[in-house]
Amino acid sequence: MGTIYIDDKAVEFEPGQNVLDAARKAGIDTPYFCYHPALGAAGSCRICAMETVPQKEGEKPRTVMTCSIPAQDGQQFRFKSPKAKQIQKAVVEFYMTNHPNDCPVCDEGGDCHLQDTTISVGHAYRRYDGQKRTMPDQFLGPLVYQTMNRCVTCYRCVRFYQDYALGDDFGAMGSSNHVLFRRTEDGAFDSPFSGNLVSVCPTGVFTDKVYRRKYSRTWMLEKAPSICSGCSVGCNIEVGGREGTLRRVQPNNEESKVNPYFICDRGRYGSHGTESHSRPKYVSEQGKVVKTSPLDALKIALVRAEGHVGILGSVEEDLTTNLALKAIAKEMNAPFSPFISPQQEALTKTAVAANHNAPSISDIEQSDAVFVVGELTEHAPMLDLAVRQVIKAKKDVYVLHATPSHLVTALNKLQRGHVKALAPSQWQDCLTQINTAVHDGAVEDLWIKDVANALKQAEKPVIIGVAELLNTADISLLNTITESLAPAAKMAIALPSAGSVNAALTAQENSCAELMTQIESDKIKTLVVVGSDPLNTNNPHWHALHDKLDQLIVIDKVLTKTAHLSDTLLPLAAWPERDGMTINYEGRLQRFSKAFARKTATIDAHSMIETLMKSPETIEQWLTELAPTLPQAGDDGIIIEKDKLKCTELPLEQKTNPPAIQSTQPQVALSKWFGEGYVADHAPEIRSLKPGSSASINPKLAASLNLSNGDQLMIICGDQKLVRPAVISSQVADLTVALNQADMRLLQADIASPLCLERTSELFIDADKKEEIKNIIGSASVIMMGEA
Amino acid sequence: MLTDQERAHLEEHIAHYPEKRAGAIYCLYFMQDKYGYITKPSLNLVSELTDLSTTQLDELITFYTLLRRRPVGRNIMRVCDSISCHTRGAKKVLEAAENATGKALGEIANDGSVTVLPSICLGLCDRAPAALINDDRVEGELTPERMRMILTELAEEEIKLSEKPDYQNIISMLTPQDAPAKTNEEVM
Ligand code: SF4
Ligand code: SF4
Ligand code: FES
Ligand code: FES
Repeated sequence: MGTIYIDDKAVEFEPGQNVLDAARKAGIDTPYFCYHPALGAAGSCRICAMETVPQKEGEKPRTVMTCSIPAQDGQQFRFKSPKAKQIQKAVVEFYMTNHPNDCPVCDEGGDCHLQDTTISVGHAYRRYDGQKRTMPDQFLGPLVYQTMNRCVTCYRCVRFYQDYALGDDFGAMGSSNHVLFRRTEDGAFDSPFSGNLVSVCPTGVFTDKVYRRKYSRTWMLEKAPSICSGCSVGCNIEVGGREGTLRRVQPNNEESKVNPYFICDRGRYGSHGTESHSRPKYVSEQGKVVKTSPLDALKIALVRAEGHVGILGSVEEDLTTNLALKAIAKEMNAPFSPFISPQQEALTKTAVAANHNAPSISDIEQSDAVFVVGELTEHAPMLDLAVRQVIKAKKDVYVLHATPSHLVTALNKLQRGHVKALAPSQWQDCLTQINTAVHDGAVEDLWIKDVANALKQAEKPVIIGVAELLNTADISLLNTITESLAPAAKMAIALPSAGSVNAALTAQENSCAELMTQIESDKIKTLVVVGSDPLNTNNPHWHALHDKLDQLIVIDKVLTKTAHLSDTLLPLAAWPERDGMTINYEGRLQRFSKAFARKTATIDAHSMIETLMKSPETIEQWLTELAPTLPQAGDDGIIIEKDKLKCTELPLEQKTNPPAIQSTQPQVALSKWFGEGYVADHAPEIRSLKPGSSASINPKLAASLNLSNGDQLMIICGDQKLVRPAVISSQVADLTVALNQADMRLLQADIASPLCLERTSELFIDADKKEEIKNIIGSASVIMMGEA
Repeated sequence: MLTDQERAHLEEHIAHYPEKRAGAIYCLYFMQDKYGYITKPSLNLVSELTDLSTTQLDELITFYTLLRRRPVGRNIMRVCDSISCHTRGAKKVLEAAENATGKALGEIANDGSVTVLPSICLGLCDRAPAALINDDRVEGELTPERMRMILTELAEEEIKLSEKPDYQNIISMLTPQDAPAKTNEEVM
């Protein structure tokens, strides 16, 4: 702590802050362009000028760029001196000579840093009437729109894209007055964080292309602080809606401990999945819209059930919803589970229980050695962005994975030999060996030794696992490893869904098995499914259970397979459309608030409690037990005490272990794409970038099968068969076939299920079929991230 | 695309620097000298040698005017348009060049003889307006008339070259390797 003086006003600063930082925090409206709190200063735009106050006799006042000088106790500056003001004004005037006067048609208008700055420094009239520079715009895919003429060359965009997010398909081209910020080729960005260009650009060069198509001036939006429902990170977002529809999602809170400045593209663009045309908006019975209010329809359906009801909550929903359902179930004496399979329940609970000492995003960023198990980008994108900060700081990062991952591509560029691709069935052995090495046991493998050494030597090591890819034994191994490291060591398990913790905490022991048994034994004839899609899993069990039901009531915000098969379909309010609370992977209880209301009635937790329950206070009670004070929407949330996060452990036989597999047999690995998700899958713009179905294999396996890129591969699992174009990628582990979730369902395969592979002969494929296949291959090759 | 010797040479050069990327400019020039411009395969190769992404290399190339990503004619003529030359009529000289070749600046003349480029100060201000042909031939005190003469001279040289018995060989040397090879008919 120290004090500097700006225009004789005392301004406190923290060590490490620069003068601009301190002035901004103290509420002084200093102009800046190239400076960004997360990206630092480039010192290039020259607008943050202030004048120094002479300290000694004979000294003259100097002009300084406040973003580039560290604050030191006792310094004095003049922000409002005529000289400083004149510089600020001249700099803006200079930028405005080339800037088009198109604020009225610019998407950034009203929300524009350049516009605000121009007004605040008082530049109102143009003196220059010469020709302005014109620059070509580039087509950048469905998410980001570019208008290059508006650029003020602050370089924030490249500094974010290349330096902060370690992307390498976007750069600054040219020199002097003609610098273009663009990709080398037209088309969509590779980076999962490309939408942040919209946020970092202080002008309207990069704007949100999805928002653009349902545009509203920022002051006309109904905004509220919310939480992203894209994954278990639970990023703070600001949601803007208008006329009952979602318009814009952007990062919210500069002070946030989760995500101060950025969000991933799944969060920014995937949230628009609730705007899909197919979204259930009205009550429908047997596929026909009926004119009842959703709550009345629900009541009627429940009366019809005569007490034989079961309730299936969701791992995608917030705590409030699952608690409400649990309370309602209790009152009706109905079984309730938020999980769709006992395996999911076991794994989620184990993962949540293991997360009792999870690092926050800033803990990860400041760590000095990180070990990642699984494809992190594809499961929890913002955790990956945090790990990238460690890579950038030249601290050791190691990744164990089985399928292609953005993080692997980024890491490979800066730290050679730090990744290891292993078939899923070998992970447990690998982790066991790391554990041995951490405990100073002897191991052969050099990579394993390196990982163990890096972790042991670190002061603040962090281990991050991806729950969806691990079995319970792997998770406890990671736990053991973490416990034997430095006292500050932390471990996070990226959970499968935004509501995983919510589900784990609300579910009773064996809740899913119980629910299933009751359906099976005909005790339940009506099932209420809220925000979940049980009939879309690789679990044939649910289809059998569905046949036993008299009534399937689905309440959801997107049209799922289960919703298609429902008898009664009711609209559910999505997170931006209601209040609620959720818990992220760290055990951080966060509140979100309603930004806008849809034009047609929807169901949410509160309205359900009010209409269906006699004594509605149960939830409040439960919440106060969980945390003495509850968070407010838009704040940092409250970390729940460790022992309250412990879930009921499950009997051992229910823990999932990989099927036994011969060492020479190929096996399944789950390959995800960073932009997919329960809601995101329904957002047309981001979904249009999703790579086509394919089977990714590594060059060695391809050679042994005599396959080249795009050849058709027959994949046989048990008695299921599937033909997919092969995509050869060196990021796939040996003897591993990377398949997406949908294909795994078709094959009824699990991670590490053994496979037989055959090259399918093209002999009998006729001409037009060949064309078709070629098209598929064309779209499939997109997946080969970063490989030349 | 590189012989073992050439590759070893570039690797040796890069090894002089504490950071590989410092060798990028040298490698880019090397590839440009070999193929006339920096082709996509060259770019990938330099990226592999220097650990810079192809985007970062493109940033470099677009920053420096002497590096180019597009093919050029057999001769390159840089005509200065900086202050001294500008005041002494560089604009007219450049216009004359455009008219004579029938192509915009930066494009290859139809016969492949030359590409005319505007340039910043060549350090030949005393002889303004000045031009530099193929990095070694200096032309000063240019006039539109003189410019037309030089261009005609280069075009005639082109014709003579193509009349030589081993023209095919020469032209194939001029053709960048990643462009499709010309057929006999096209050449004749
Ligand atoms: S495009 Fe935007 S962020 Fe990038 S340099 Fe220009 S003004 Fe700055
Ligand atoms: S990391 Fe997860 S929570 Fe954060 S913005 Fe992306 S999808 Fe949403
Ligand atoms: S903000 Fe200080 S020079 Fe740009
Ligand atoms: S200005 Fe033309 S050579 Fe210097």
